Amino acid sequence: MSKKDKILLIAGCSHAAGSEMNGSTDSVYNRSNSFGNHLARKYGMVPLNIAQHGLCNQGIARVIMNWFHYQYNPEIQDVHVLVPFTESIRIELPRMDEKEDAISITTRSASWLDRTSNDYYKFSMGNHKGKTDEEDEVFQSATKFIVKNEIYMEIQSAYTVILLQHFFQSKNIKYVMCNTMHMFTSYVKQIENLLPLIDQTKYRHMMHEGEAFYPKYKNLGYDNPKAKYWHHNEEPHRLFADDLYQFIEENKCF
Amino acid sequence: MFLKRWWNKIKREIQYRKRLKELRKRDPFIYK
Repeated sequence: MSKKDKILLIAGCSHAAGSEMNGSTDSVYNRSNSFGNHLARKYGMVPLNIAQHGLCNQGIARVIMNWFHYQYNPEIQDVHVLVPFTESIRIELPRMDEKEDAISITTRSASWLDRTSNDYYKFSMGNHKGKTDEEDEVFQSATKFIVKNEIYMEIQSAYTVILLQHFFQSKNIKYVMCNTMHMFTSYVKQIENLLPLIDQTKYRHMMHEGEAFYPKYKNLGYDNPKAKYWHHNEEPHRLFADDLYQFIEENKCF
Repeated sequence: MFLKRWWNKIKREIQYRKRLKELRKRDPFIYK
């Protein structure tokens, strides 16, 4: 029997891609020094960093499931997955118009590119101005909906967590999850009622916003002068990889 | 009655704008 390739599949948004670490949106250097790639090296695994900038949680799940559909070969691959979730108030909305292959331009250093991302408008509260009239119209209605339905957005993210956990279990894949930004609000009954359905031994500090990658190191005073949009530089990535390693070892995730 | 409904609408609008401002600070990233 031949030896399988040990792979750490790293999904997520720009934080997982190490965006702006060296000032550029995407680069081989950024990904190589991201917390996910550090973690892969700690376990002697080959890092496959497929994170895409601006993804919402449903987009992260889509990219992961597409990777498994198109790339996974259990005969030759031993895959573990790192799922860093992003801000729960992001959304991706299907677009019906002809579009350029924008994802190939903005995500050129990814280990694998899920081009189905081109089929969606990526909306976040900061990225609320559309480039076309149609996009702008979609974004305006999304802004209103999200501001008035924050908890609904969190519920959808909770369902995404449950979906991915069952997806990995169905394929006997080992995984670990964490947050990079605000995910859940405590003491909301609809969220609290979903918690027993989630395996939190595979999810580092699921309910603790202060432990999410971006706010944690921002609050500790780390500053990246090269970043335009407050992404962290090398040191917080290295430290977060240590935190993840400790959590994985304590909970036997891998 | 009309005044009360009008005032409640104004209050909701103020709350919306306040929350919008807070959420834009929470997720300030812009992607091209």
